[in-house]
Amino acid sequence: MKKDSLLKIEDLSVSFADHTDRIQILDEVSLAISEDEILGLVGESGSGKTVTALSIMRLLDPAAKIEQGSIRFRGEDLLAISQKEMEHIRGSQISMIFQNPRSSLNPLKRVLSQVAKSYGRKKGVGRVEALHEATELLKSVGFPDVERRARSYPHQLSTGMCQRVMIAMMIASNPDLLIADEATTALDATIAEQIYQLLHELRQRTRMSILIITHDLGVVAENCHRVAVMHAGHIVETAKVETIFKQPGHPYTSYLVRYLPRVDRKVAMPSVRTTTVEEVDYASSGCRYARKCELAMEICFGEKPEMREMAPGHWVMCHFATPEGAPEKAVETSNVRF
Amino acid sequence: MLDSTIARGGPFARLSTLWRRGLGRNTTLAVALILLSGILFIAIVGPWIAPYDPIAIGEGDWRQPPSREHIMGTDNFGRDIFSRLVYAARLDLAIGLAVALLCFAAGSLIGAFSGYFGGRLDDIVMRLSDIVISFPAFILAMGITAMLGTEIIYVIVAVAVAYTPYFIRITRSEMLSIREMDYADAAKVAGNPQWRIIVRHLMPNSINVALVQASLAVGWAILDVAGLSFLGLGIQPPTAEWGVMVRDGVSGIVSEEWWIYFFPGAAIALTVLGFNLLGDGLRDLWAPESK
Amino acid sequence: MNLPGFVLKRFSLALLTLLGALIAVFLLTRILPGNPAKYRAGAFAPPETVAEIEKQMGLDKPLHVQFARYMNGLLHFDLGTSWNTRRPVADDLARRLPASLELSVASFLLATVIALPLGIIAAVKKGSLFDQLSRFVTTISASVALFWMGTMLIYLLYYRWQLVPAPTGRLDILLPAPDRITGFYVLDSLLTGNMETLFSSLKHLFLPAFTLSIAVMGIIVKGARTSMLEVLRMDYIRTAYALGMSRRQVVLEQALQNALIPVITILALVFGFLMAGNVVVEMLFSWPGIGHYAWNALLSKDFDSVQGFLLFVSAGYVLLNLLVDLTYGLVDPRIRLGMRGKNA
Repeated sequence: MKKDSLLKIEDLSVSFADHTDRIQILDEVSLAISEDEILGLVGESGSGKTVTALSIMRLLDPAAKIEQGSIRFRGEDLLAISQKEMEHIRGSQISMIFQNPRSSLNPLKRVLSQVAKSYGRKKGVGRVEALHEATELLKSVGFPDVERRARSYPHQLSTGMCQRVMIAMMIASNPDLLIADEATTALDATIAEQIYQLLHELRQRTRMSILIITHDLGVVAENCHRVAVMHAGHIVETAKVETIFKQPGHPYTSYLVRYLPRVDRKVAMPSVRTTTVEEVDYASSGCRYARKCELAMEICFGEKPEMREMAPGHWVMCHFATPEGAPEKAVETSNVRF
Repeated sequence: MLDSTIARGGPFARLSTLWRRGLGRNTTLAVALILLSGILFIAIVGPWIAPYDPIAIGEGDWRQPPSREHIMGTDNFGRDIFSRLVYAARLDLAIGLAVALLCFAAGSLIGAFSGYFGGRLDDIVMRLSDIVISFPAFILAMGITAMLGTEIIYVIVAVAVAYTPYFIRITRSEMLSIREMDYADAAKVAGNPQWRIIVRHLMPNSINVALVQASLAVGWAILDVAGLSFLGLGIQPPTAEWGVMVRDGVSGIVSEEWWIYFFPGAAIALTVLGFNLLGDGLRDLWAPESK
Repeated sequence: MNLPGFVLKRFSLALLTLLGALIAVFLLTRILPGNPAKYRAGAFAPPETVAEIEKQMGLDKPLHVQFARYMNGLLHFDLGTSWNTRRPVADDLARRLPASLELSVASFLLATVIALPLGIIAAVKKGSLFDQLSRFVTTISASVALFWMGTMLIYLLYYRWQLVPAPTGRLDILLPAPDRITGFYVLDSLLTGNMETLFSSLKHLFLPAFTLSIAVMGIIVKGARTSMLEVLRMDYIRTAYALGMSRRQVVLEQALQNALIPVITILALVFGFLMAGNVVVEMLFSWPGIGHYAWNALLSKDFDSVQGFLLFVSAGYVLLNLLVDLTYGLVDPRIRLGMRGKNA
């Protein structure tokens, strides 16, 4: 990608207070999203995807602490600006939609007025105009029968409808970046597809960039230009979508790719291998995947691998990664089938 | 501070683990336990440390302010307030614990069966407890003692009846959620009779919540019994009881002799505070997210 | 379930409870061993006198006849006759109701106005010094006996510092009561433009109302805090932040309304506490309300008055809870408009 970076995260480390000590939930994460790009951030739950997204929004739980790093949005470090300035960016330049659309809407307010409110706030227009715009917005996100149903409360709508309402609220001010955090996980496959279809349409109209956070490689394959794979607080590989599937560079990625659900069998990643936070040795000085990696050697436990560029735009964090792809070919001693 | 002194002693290793696990970080519970063991100690050794007879009328020195002979002064009948106070500690604690125990036992049992079986039985139990709850607890207790009489056992029953429905409700709702879980099925498959499933397998799991409630109920019971006695509807004078003692100081209009009512009232407050903190502390220990 | 169904269900449940309460009061005052006739007659009265009084009170009839009489009386708002005042209990209660209501409402307002914001702020600033302090005060207020608190306050504010008038009723002894319009002295003096009674009644009202309010403040603070904390954890609060709202806007525009709904239930509970507290406070302050009346009746085993009082309180409490349930249904669209489908 030759385009300028819209958002550039560098060496971001975030820690959470555990019972006794602090857990490094993000460890020197670097990530860039270009203008007009759809980036997929994929990994198991607990790997730090959502923490990354919330760091961008600066909506982390107070128990979380940003240890170091920077998040530059159009060159400006979001971690350095004031609360007030951040509030101006949230919801207008960077927006975010969430996993549980119904509970993400205020249960006591009609959806139309919620959309109108978010529009009115950002544009500083009166109630009448805001309501009119809100109706248009709801139409533009494919909300059916707007005249009648926009006066519904969230609990009267389906989950998919609620997600459309969320999207309408979040794109009210033409954001440059939309973060979709597991936005379709709670939805049926068909509805999910419609939602992504909608996001594509919106992107073509508004030229916004989208960060899709998911644990479903299928979603990535169908919707993204580029992927970042996350494991236990590290980004272990970034590459174009085609590269990831054809020539995964990291053992973890190849593991994921092998389990990529077929089109006719739309299931998410196998749950057998989802890692809980307890399973990961956050204190390890080596590679955090080493314990589960079938190719792990002594060095993997002792030394943290560097992020290396295998091919232009293809970065891998593994001691044994080669430009040819997954390390199994490089490790002569390995006769393990996997 | 306490932590390190305990941790060093070999025989106390177990205690120190317990401390580090929960108590050390749970200041509320620690304060509650210290406070309550102090009060319990006074209640137990009361008769030995009380310098005077709590009931017998004193000689001449009526309504004396706190002094060297009477550290909390004397009351309208020249009785030593400190002596009455420590005797009363026994009675009030005993009543409070008895009420809580009654509520806890009756409420958990009824609630458990009602929640487990559901259906008609559950409906009846719920309607009955609705009726009891339709009276504010203290007013119901007042009505019952007025009708039953003011012997200690009646006072205990009156207050216990008023609070039991709350225990029934809590245990019942816990039971409803537990009933759906796997281990209930497992116990059923193993061929246990139903009462056994409830008592041996399900109740232990709902007991934490009821215990928190019970420790709060000790405090409520002490407050209510003292309140009843204060109104003349509970324990009767000349028995040494905190509510009775406060009443002694408020004969007619409030008087200058503040020590007559100040100390017993403060004793109530400290004791109830102890049980409230115990309840809060236990809840923090067992369900930290509800903090 | 739709709204009419919801209302109907609540209404019939309340009626059922009320009926149960009627029976409970009847049984409580008949079958318990404390025989009022015996009490009336005196400890050493001959059995004939006791029997005579029993007959007078209708206690010699079989239980079902007594019950029929009792129910028949209730249908005509007849709660019997007070032994103490020799007047119909219903009249006595009606005459004394405004005094109690004035006290309860005043302390309810005081408590709510002070405690509700405290609870909300404590939740918003969770873990702060303010929160710790309010938690501490809440726990203390739940531990202190109301009668003791009242006694101490009277001692300090009246006896020591002379800040409030003597605890002897609703007005200065020499002042005549204002013309009765609502029965609330404060309102009536205001309506009749009688400034002297107004100030006097306010001065007399303050301390009992304040004492009573302290007893319930803890409950409100705790309830408001818990409710607000729960709401602040909700997903839609995160949405509000994601839309760029400031903390202030999130709290005031999104969270507050949602947090206040459960508080309605707590306020009903508070009113129950106030009814019980009224007895103690009215006794301490010689306040001529229902609580004071009930206290006298209970002490002297004034049978019909006790019965009337218990019925009145229970009916009031059931009605209040019904009202709360209905309000709940009105303000929460999830109940008002019904749930949709399985995953609602």
